[in-house]
Amino acid sequence: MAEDWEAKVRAALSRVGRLALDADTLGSDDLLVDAGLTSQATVEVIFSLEDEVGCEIDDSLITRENLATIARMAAMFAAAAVRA
Amino acid sequence: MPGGAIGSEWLGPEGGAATGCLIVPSVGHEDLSMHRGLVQLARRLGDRHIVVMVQHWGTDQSDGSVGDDDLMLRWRTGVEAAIATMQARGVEHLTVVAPRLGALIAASALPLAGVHRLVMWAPTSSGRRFVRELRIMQAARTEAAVDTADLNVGGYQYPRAMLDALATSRLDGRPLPAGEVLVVDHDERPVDPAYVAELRSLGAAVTEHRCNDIGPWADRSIDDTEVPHRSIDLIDSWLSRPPSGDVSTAAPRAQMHAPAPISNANHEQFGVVTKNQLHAVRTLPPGTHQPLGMLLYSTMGPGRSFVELARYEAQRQRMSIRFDAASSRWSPPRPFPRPTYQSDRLDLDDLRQCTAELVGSGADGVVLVGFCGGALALLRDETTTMARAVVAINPPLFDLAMNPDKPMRDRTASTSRITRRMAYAYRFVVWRIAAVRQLRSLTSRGIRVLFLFDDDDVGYLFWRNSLARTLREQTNRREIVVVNHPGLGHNLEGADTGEVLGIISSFIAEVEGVDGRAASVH
Repeated sequence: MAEDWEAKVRAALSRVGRLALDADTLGSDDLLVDAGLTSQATVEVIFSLEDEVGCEIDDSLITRENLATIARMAAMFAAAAVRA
Repeated sequence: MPGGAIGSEWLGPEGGAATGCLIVPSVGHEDLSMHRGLVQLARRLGDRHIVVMVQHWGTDQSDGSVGDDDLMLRWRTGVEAAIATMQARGVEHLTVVAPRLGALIAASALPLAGVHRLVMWAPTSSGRRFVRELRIMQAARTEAAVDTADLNVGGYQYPRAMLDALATSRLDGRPLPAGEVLVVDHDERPVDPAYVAELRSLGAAVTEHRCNDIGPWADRSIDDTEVPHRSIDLIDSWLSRPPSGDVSTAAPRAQMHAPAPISNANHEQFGVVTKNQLHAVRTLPPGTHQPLGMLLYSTMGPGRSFVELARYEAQRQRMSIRFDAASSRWSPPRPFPRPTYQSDRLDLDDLRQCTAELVGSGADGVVLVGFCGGALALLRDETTTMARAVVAINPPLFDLAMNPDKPMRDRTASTSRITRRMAYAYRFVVWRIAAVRQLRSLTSRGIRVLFLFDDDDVGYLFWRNSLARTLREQTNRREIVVVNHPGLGHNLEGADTGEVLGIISSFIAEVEGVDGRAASVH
């Protein structure tokens, strides 16, 4: 299941992340900020995924750690989906 | 309006006009980034229409604070007051142009007033969504836990009251009086089709356009924002269509708002300074003035914080001049472009002229106050000939080595890692020498310096790692005072700046030889 969420995160990064690199070339634990993900683009990625998945991330999960890498972001959405 | 005064900027053709345009800006960090683009739009439309840009309660020159209760109601009331004032002056056909959160504010205010057209420019569809954006942006850049307390995004401090007011705001089902609505959005942040459907269900004839210059304008930091020329062209073109209804060209034409010839209740006089006709506010309290005058130099910012500082110091009988650097906010553009955060020879000339005006008005000396790259211009020998002290907020001190005759952008961020490391080493050797030399030059002439830094500001890191040890003697003698203030934010904007402004006031009082601690500005 975690791999599915990672694929969704990568797709969202490609769609609205405005990265300097191809999202598919990033490792799961690579820092997204190093790939050029801005705070504004982070907003677009989160909202895009929320719209796609049909759930809303709880404020308590919105932490720098959870937004730092593809793996952490995928885990955050997996947790949010379980709660939903 | 009841409870306080709302500020506004007016532009228009000399002969007046029957048509008017009210610009309702966003608030917070977006307002900082988008302001210059809105000024460009206002100037374009001002050739043919009476154009008014309203200043929301607690922002710019208006009364109040963004920490006040009932903020959304106050913002709506301010918009309605602006519309009523324009109509009272003879504007018959009124368009409202509202970007981002301004669209939400305008849409909630409009049912009480007669508006013919509405431009929703990259509109925020709900205040709750806007607050969630803020939380995500803060989380993406800070280690701190994001809770329900104040947020600091883009150098702007959002107080709790403001977040609460925003979070509950949305189109609430009231009919829109504007028969025609133009929605302009962009690929990075397309408008939700459900939002457009809701506008149509409220009775609006909606036209949609997409302009991808909105992102580089509205969604970039204040250092990198660009003027959205294509969007401005589009809006200008849309407004150029003949107005529907029975607006007669023979009708009495609305006249421009005439600037008040005397001071307002805050002893402020609006005008221009220097031969470059820069937008300025002179604050001249009646009676005997304090010995030191204060010069507030706005580059990219601060705006509101400097207004509050000038008003607070006016209560203590201090006169001041606050002006916008060329190409900043309402001041006219420079003869040639340069990055907004850098200063050059023209800026130094402007500063000298303003300093001379304060001294000519009776000040014994001047305290210079500036921000970021603007603060660097205040630390130059050329601008401090009549200065007793300098207050520099988040100055990028490594740029003190820059030649004001040849300002240029540091492009090392886009070069290779080796080049960046070489540039880093260069910074620590050559730039450090220049900064130390300049600061010693100031203090040797008896000029006191206060540095105010956000805790993660790059200027502070340079001070701590490269300058502090060398200049320890100056800091021990308090010739240079360094305050590292966590949460200050880069732009020193928002409601929670009272403590910082109090630090500045205390510093000025100390320089003046007055033994007294300034209370918080708020």
